[in-house]
Formats: sequence, C-alpha cells, structure tokens
Amino acid sequence: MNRQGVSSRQQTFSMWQQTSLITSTLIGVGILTLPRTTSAVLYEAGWMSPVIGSVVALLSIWMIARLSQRFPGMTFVEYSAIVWGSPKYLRMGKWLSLPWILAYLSCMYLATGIVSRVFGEVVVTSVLLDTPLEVIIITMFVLVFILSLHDLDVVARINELLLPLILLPVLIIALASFQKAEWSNLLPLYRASLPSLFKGAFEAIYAFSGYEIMLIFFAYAHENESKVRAGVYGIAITMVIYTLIVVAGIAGFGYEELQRVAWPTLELVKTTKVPGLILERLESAFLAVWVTAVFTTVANAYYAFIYGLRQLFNRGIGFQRIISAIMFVPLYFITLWPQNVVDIFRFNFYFGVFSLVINLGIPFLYLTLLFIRDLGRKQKERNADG
Amino acid sequence: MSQFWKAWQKRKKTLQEKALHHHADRSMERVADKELSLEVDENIIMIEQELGRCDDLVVRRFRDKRGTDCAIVFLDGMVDRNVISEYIISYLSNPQIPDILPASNELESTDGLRQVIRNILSGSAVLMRDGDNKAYLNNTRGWDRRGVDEPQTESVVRGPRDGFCETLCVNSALVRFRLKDPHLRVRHMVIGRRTQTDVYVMYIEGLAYPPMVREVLARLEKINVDSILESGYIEQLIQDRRWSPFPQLQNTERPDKVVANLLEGKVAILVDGTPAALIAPAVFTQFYQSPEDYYERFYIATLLRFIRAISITIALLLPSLYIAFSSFHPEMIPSRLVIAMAAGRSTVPFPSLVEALIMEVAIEILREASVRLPGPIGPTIGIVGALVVGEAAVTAGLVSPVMVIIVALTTIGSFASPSYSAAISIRMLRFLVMLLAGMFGLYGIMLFLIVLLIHLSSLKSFGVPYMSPFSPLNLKGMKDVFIRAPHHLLRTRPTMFHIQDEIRMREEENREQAGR
Amino acid sequence: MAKGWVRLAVLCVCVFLLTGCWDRRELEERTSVLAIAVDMVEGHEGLYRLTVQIPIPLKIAGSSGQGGGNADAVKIMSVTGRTILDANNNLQIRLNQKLFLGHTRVLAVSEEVARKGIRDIMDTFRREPQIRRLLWPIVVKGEAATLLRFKPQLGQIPVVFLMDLIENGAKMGTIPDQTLGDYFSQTSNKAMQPFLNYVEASTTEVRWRGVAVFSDHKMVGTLNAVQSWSFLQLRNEERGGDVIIPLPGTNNGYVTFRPHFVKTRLDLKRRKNKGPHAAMFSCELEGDIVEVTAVMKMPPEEFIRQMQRLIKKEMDKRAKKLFHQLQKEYNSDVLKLGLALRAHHYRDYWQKHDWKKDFKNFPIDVDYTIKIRRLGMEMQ
Repeated sequence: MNRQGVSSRQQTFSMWQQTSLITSTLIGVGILTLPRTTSAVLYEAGWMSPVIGSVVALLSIWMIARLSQRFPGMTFVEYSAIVWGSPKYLRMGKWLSLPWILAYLSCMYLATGIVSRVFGEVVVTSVLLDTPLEVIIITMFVLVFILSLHDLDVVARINELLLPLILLPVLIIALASFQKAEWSNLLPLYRASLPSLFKGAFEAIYAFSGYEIMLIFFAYAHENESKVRAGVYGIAITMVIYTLIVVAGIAGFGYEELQRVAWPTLELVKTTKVPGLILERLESAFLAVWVTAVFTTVANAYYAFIYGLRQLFNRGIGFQRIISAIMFVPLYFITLWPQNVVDIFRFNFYFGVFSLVINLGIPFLYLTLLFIRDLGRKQKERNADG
Repeated sequence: MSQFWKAWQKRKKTLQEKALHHHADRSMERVADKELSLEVDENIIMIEQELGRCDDLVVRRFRDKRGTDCAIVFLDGMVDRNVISEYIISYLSNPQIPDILPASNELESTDGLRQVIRNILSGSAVLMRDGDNKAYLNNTRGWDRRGVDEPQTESVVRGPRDGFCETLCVNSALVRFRLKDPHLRVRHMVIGRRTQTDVYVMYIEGLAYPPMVREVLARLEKINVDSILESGYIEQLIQDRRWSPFPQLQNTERPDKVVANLLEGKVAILVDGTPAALIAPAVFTQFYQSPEDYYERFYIATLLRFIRAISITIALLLPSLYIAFSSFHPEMIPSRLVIAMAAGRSTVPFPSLVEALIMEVAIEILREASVRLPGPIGPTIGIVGALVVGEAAVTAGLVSPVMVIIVALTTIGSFASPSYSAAISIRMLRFLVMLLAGMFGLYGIMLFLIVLLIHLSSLKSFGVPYMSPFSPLNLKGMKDVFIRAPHHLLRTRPTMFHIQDEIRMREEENREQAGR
Repeated sequence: MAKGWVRLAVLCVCVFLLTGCWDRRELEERTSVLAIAVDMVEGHEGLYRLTVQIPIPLKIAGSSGQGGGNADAVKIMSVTGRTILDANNNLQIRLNQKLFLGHTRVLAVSEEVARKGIRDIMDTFRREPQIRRLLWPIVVKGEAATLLRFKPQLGQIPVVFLMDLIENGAKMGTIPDQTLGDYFSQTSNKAMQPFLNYVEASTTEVRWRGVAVFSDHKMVGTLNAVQSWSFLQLRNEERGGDVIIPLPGTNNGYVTFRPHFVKTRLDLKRRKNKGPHAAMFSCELEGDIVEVTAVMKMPPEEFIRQMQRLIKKEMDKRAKKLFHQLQKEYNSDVLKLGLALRAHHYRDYWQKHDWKKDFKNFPIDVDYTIKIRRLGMEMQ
C-alpha cells in the first residue's frame, strides 16, 4: 500500500457518519418522482412500495455489511481479490474479480451521470428556464470534483453536515401539505394485485439504490459491529422520509393527478403554504436546498467510483485528483446522451434493473463464495484431523 | 503517465528536504561569540564594535567602593534609570554596604559577548568590572508602556474590563492572576531573527492533549522569519491551511477568554509587543461565541448566540438573496411587495447585482474610512456617509430603497460577530456569493454554500476538525454550541479538543446545589 | 486546496465573463401579469380574447416618492388568439418587456367559456412552470374582463382587492379557497367533480355569487351564496355565512344564526347490511344567535330550543335543495361522495357501479344538529 492509503486507513467513520452517508446518498433525485412512480402501479396504496422496497434494500445492505465485517478495513476492491483467489493466489483473484469490480464501478459511474442529468432536467424545466442544461451539469460536476480533491474523512463529514439540510425541507413540506390533505385519497388500502405490488416495490427499490457505495465506505467504519446498525438506520430514515412524501403526495393530489405531473414532489411544494412565512412559491427555494441532496448522491457515488479506481490501480490521492478530473469528460457525454425527459425515465428504469442486480447479486455471490470456501476449508481441516 | 507521476513526486520531495535543511543565518549568530576580557575598556570597545554606531547606547563609568573601575552599559529608554542610579551605582559606591554585586532582583552573569549583546538589546543593564571577565546582567527593563486597558474590539457588557497590553510579562501575569493552577505551563521562545520577539506558549498540563502541545511548539520552532511584529505573523505562519479564508487560530485581547480556553485544553500563544493573544486550536463556533455567554444566565446567552448566528448568516447571504430573489425568482416575493420593489427599482439603471456590488463596496469604503479617521470624527462621517449618501442615492434613483435597507442590515450583521477576524472573512466571502447569485440565483448561492461546507469540513486546526462538534457529530459537545446549557449541565469539558481530564464539575457538589 | 480555490475562482470568472447570466431578468424587466381573463370573441368561434391586468409600479402610491394619486394604477390589455398561448404571444409583441406569469393571482373565466369547457385552457396553465398552483380561477358572470377592469375605490389594484376579498372570505369560511391546484386534482380525480368560485363584476364593484359547478371541465350550473354555504359546511367543514330566518308568527321578525364551528361526518351505510348504499351527512353546527329583530316573550331555554328547531329545519331544507340541484339538475358530484365511496366501499360498491351514471339517483340525506352556544352579549 502506498503512503496515502495507509494514512487514510486511520481515518474512521463514526456510526452516525455511516448512517448519514447512506441516507444522504439514497435521498436524491428519486424523491421528486417517487409519488408518481409508486402510485402508478399501486394507486392509493403507493406508500406501501417504499416500505416493501426498503426490505429489499435492508437485505442488500445487510449482506454488504456482513461482507465488510469479514474484511475489516478493506474495501470491496481490496477484498475481491481475496474472495476470488485467496491470500496465496492473489493475482488470480484479482483477475477473476475484475469483471465484478468493473461492473460495480460502472454502476457507480452511470449513477453519477443519470442523477446529474435528472437533476439538471428538473432545474432547467422549473427554475432556471433559460440556463443551458450543460451549465447546470457542469456546475454540479465542479462541486463533485472539488469534493473529490479531498480525503475520505471530508466526504463523511460533509455528508454529516448536509444531512439535516436534506431531511428538513422534505419533512417540512410533507408535514405542511398535510393541512390540505384529502385523507380519503389514501383509501382503499389495497386493491392492486400481488404482481403489481412487486412491480410497485421495484419502483421504490430504484429510489433506494445508492447504498452500494458502502461496499467501499464500510471499510473505514469506526467499529466493525456498527456496520449493520448504521445500514439499518440509514435505510430506515430514508424509508420514513419516502413514505411520508408519498403519503403526502397521494393525500394531497390523489393518485390520478400524480400520474399527470412530471415532478409531483415539486408540485406538492407549489401547493404548500408554510404558514407565517414571508416568502411565497417555495419551489425555487426547495430546489435550491434540494441541490444538497443531489450533490451528496452524485458526489458519494462518484467518490466511491474514483476511490475504487484508485485502489484498483493502487495509487494515492494525487492519482485520485487527476483521474477524477479526467473521468468527468466521458461522463459529461454520457449524461447528455438521453434526448428528452421520456428517454431519461426509460434509461433510469434500465439502470434501476442493472443496479438492483449489482446490489443484490454481488454481495450474494460473494457471501455464497465465502460460504462454500469456508465449508471447503472445514472439510479440509476435518480431513487433516481425521 | 506513472513515470511522470513518480518524477513529480520525487521533485516535490527534494524540494521539501531542501527547505528543511536550509539554515538561514540568524542575525544574532553573526555576533562574534568571543569571551569577555578582564579589561572594562576592552569589553566596551568590543560591545561598541558589535553594535556599530548606536547613539542611544549609554556607557556609564564609575568607581565602586573598593576603587575598581566599573562600567554600566545599557540602551537609553529601555531601562529604568532610577533602578540603575539607586540600586546599582549608589549601592555599589556606598561604602556602608558591603555587597559588591548590585541589589537587582534578577541578576545573571556571563562571560560571552553574544549573551551580553542580546541582553543589552532587550533592556538589561550590563555591569562590568575591571579584573573580572564576567559581565553582570541586571534586569532593569523599564520602558514606558501602555497600561492595562479595556479591549477595544471585544467589549462586553458584563465581564472583566482588563485587556492585554503590549508587554508580555504583564499579559502572562493577567492570565496567571486568573488561573492559579500549578499545572499551568509557560514555555518561553524567541522567534524572529531580527526582532528576537519573546513568545510564551501557555497550556495546562493534564488538560491539554500532549501531542497537540508538541505540535504547536514544533510549528513555532519551525518558524524562520526575520520579524514578528504582531501575533498575526505567527498565526499565519503556523495555521494548517494557508490558503483558507478562515482564521484557524483564535485571537483575543481578553485574558478571561484565554483562561476559559486554557481550561478547555487549548493552547495560548502570547507574543511580546501585541495585545492579541492566539488560541489554538480554533473551531467554527468562535464565529458567534463570546466569553460573555458564560457570565449571563443561559437563556440570555442562548438567545444571544442565536442572534449572532442569524446576524452572521445575514452578513453572508442577505445581499445575494436579494439579488437572487429580485432578478431570478421574483415569484417568491409576495405580490404586494414585488410591485413596490419594482417601483423602487424602475429608475435604477443597473442590474441588481451591480447595484448591490456598488452599495456594498461603498459601505466597505465607509467602514474602512471611519476606522482610519480620528476618534470623534469617525462615527460622524459614518452617519453622514451612510445616511446622506444612501438617501441621496435613493432620491437620485441610483439605488432602490430596499437595497439600502439590505446593505445596512448586512453591515450591522457583520458587526454582531464577537470575533473581528472571523467576521472579516465573512465580509469578504459575501462578494463571492453575490457574484454566484448573480449568475444562478438561489442555485448559485447553494453551490457556494456547498463548496464552503466542503472547505470548512476539510479544515483542521491542529488536528481538530474545524466544524466540530457538528461534524464529526459530538452530541455531548452540542450542549455548548448553539445553546449554552446552564452551568450545572456543563459538567464535562468539551471532548473535541482531546481533553485529558473531562470533569469540570463534580457531581456530588452539584447534587448538593440542586437539593438546596 | 489552494489549487481548488484558484480553480474555482478561475472558473467563476470565466463563466461570468464568457456567458453572462441566462436567467437573470430584473424586476423592472418583467411585465408582471396580476390577473388573466379569458372570454369568447363574439362571432368568432374558436377564438379567445385574453385580457391581462398589469400593475404600473410608478403609479402606485407609497411605492416611491413620485406618482401615486388617483391615476390608473393598472394597465388592462386585451388580445385575441386561437389558444391561450397564441393570445399570449400576440400580447408579447405589444409589450416592451417579457411577460411574467409568476405573480398571476387570478384567472377569470367568463361563464360562456366555462360552459363550453375549459380543458384546453387549463392545459396551458398545467404546463407553464411560472403559473402558481395557488392562483384562484374564478368564473365570472358575463364578461370576464370586467373583473379586471373594475375600479375598487378601497384599493388601487383590483386584483389585490380581489385577493383580499377571497382570502378574507376563506378565513371567515364564507368563500371557498378553491385554487388552481385544487381544480387540477379534482378534475383528474375520477371520483369527484370540481367547482370554482362564481362572481359578478361591474365597473365599480365585485360580488361573490356562489360557486360554479363543473362536470368534466364543463360548467353545468351555479349554486347561489346560501346554497354554497350549505355546500361548504357539508364538503369542507367550513362555517359558511350567517343564517337569516324569518321568525314564524311575527311581522318582519328575523333571527340570525352565526355558525362558528362545523363538524361533518359522512356515513355511507347500507341498510341492514345489504340493501342499496346511501349517504348520510351528519352536520353539527355550533354557533351564536347574533340578531333577533322581534320581541320574543319566552324563557331563554325555550327560546334556544325553539331556535335550534327552526334553524335545523331551515338548514335541512337548504341541504335538500342543494342535493336536488346537484343530482337532478347538474349531475355533478362536487360533494366528494364518490371519493368516500371509493375509499370505503371499493369492492362492494365502486367496482360494480358507474358512478357518473349512478350519482344522479344515489340516496343522500342530511341531519343537522344545531347547538346554540351564546346569544351574543344579550341574555335573550
């Protein structure tokens, strides 16, 4: 390991920092469309899908945490070699694990692109109408780049600082919109079929994706035991926020109206009057504050990607800085690939499937592999004993 | 790629090493390290040679009671002449007194020329005798100094009125006077090749985190500069991030603040010749905390902290919010107000960004001018400038009335911060936000805030994250951040400075208090 | 980090110098439209006439030293176009600055337009991000532009006057706070129908006349003020206006009841658990007697009992009339009955019935409970 690698080893994340890393990564662009996507299949019971979706996310983060607990202090990129090879056959492990690592990294990379595109799209369609989309995306990249110049502990700290800024506006909007809510809109409790329940849950699972950054970041946890707890807390907070906003959307608009608006949460902000506030029309303010939510999502994913690359090539922070600047160039073109909003949502859907496969598949595969090898070792030991 | 990388790293390393091994000649080291001779005259000639033409060098020759030729050498104005005439010359000449050494409270002897020169320059009177190759260094320092005065920049309503002055020993006495702890450690250092400035590093052993103290001392030792005229030199030379706009050491003129900080396990640096003491490490909370918070009851202190936090936010963001709202998001301003604002702006020939920049620059000029102006005129000019110019500008249709209110609020807001050096960085950053707000509206402001937060959370002051206790979150420390919890709840010292002894108040005593 | 700051600074300067600010548009560079009125053009089928109200900042008293006085504080402009945006563009070419709809507070639609259907109008407003969801669409009797042209002596800007009128009415519970957003969700919702405020305007006055009932984007009729209040009590639990009832047995004697609190419960019960579904509104009005214009010689207990009976009878009568109008004449479920049915009886009713057809004959009943709390400052 190089010098920087060793020094960053000592920086550790507290449990709260891990929790905020997860929560602030999860809450991103998804929240703007969540009431629409969930109620599209489940109608009045749209709020169920974040609840069910969180179960899948919990399962996945549990596996990731268990995996990380077996290799304390090691990131996904580092322990992959050991899982696929063994301490003896590290080189073989490296080559065998390469496709998985690459899949994971490209998942992170694409996530960065899609999230920044959706973000740019929202800003351009609702607040800064004449500003070119490119400028919004570039400014977001600049922010992310500035963060990627720093060390890991800064990432944890900035997430910790921004988390209240992400949670509070959503909470306020959700609670304030309850004033004018039509509670009958939430009933009947359940009328969709079972398959559509899963379909609806899938929509939410996409909104929950992003915790896979913890494959990298769990390595620097303060205590090995806190990982699972941090994961559960992070997902739980997100679930509460998501459920609240979906409930607020359905109760405020009714599911039929939700299907018609492109950014339901934003419309919710538009209809909401926070009593006693001097300012009107809070959607610009909401979007401005929401920049932090997107920033943490994009930045964490990109940082995980860059950090993974850095470890893959076994380099230091200087490499990280240069490569992060370089990798923005292709990302910029990827981001501008989809032609219009409809295209973006379609890409988003495909990407959701991809990331779900990665999130569930990789940890599961790794754990099974480890399990089989454990069995094998025990067998061998037994043989040696006998 | 990688080769380039390695070469670059190598170059960086060699440069660093070069800087490390480069020993600058210290001007004191140029003084010949000769031994004194037995002859007084010869010694005087040596001294005069080293000091060159020094017309304020006084050489007083006299003969003591035994008839030995003696000479006293000192610099005019830096010594207490009474002490010299009474306790050295009269004392030694008086045949009734058997002593042959002066009755000085601090007397050292040396035979090295360099030592002699150094002491003359720092205000000692050097006594030399024929037939003795030793020089006697009397501490007769006594120049006219400013007395202990109320600090000008950090005045409080309730609290001690004494502030540091320019004399190091008085300053350290002011601290000692409040802190009679035998564990208070004072380390003396001389920094500045030419100025030879005395510096005291104070900390409480058993409270301050030893590696942190070592780090402070090491950084001070590494300073190799010709002059230290103010503690600001030291502050800027030892701070962690040299390019940051934020002060990474706290400075204060208040001894009570220094003591309070020492008790939290921090290190204080007192510099001769300046009333501003440095406190390390510093964190972000210094922007809105004042020692007064602990003197008043906690409700009031909490309220004041909130008000200061709000005023800092106003000072940083209000003009840019105005720009964002008026030229990007007018839909956010209430309809009734927007018509009035549009009317006010209809004659203004500039965009609101330019309008705000003009007014903010104008007010900064006014502020700078009123600092320089002689005492009684300053405030008058300030009022004339602010009121008359503002009013005239509005009437002339150059700025809108709302802008005047905004500028006034911003300026007042920046004065509410108890720390001048913290507030000044806010004042500066304000212009950057205004530019960004002029580009992207609220989005620009948010971009700025995120970059600011990234920077703040990457800052560390002597190993302590600048944003603690917000991040890393320290719930125990939060008691004394936005709110100032009542004293009986502040039983432990804040842990973010790696405090060694956490207990501030024993629980038993506290229970007694509660029972009463 | 040093490099970071330098880079940031360089970037800022570059962006600033090279491109400028795309969305920057100063307050005075926007022509704020406070209200929009949509009328039909007589003799031209398919043409809309769009009238806008634009405040003239300098003419508004108190905004700055000069100006003020009695001059017209607003400018009214009218244009025609095939669609709303077409008219809007026609208007734009007559203006020096860009039209800004972010402060539009009132959308006045003439009754003629409303009866023809406003789906195509509303589509424009749905897509335009500047439009507030909290603006008030209002149906105007006669020509919608009169609502913009009227001159309130009590205020300078007609729309601000109108805003206050509605806001105050909403606060007192006499005028529904029916916003564009509400209209959107109500039209989208398959289980209910929207309604809008209905006003009448002349050159000097504006008057709230009740609500306009819609069915699928088409106005089908109006409810007068008294019925609207009953409607508000049953639908929104808002108190509505004072109830003035002639006292029986007196000559020109009236009693005025002012409801303060309203509690409405809707029961959708099936008789004996099978039979057809029926709706039952139980409405509890709690209020004061504020006026009695005849001398009543009876003990207060008796008086209160009698008044409660009287008011209940009157309220029941009003509600019945309301139901009759909504069901038989307009066939529009603005009462949100369908929503309640869908919510609570999804499987046993909603799936089996076509609400649009069945609403007409759905049994609705009402039961008022009147609670008189005080008699004003009098004891009788």
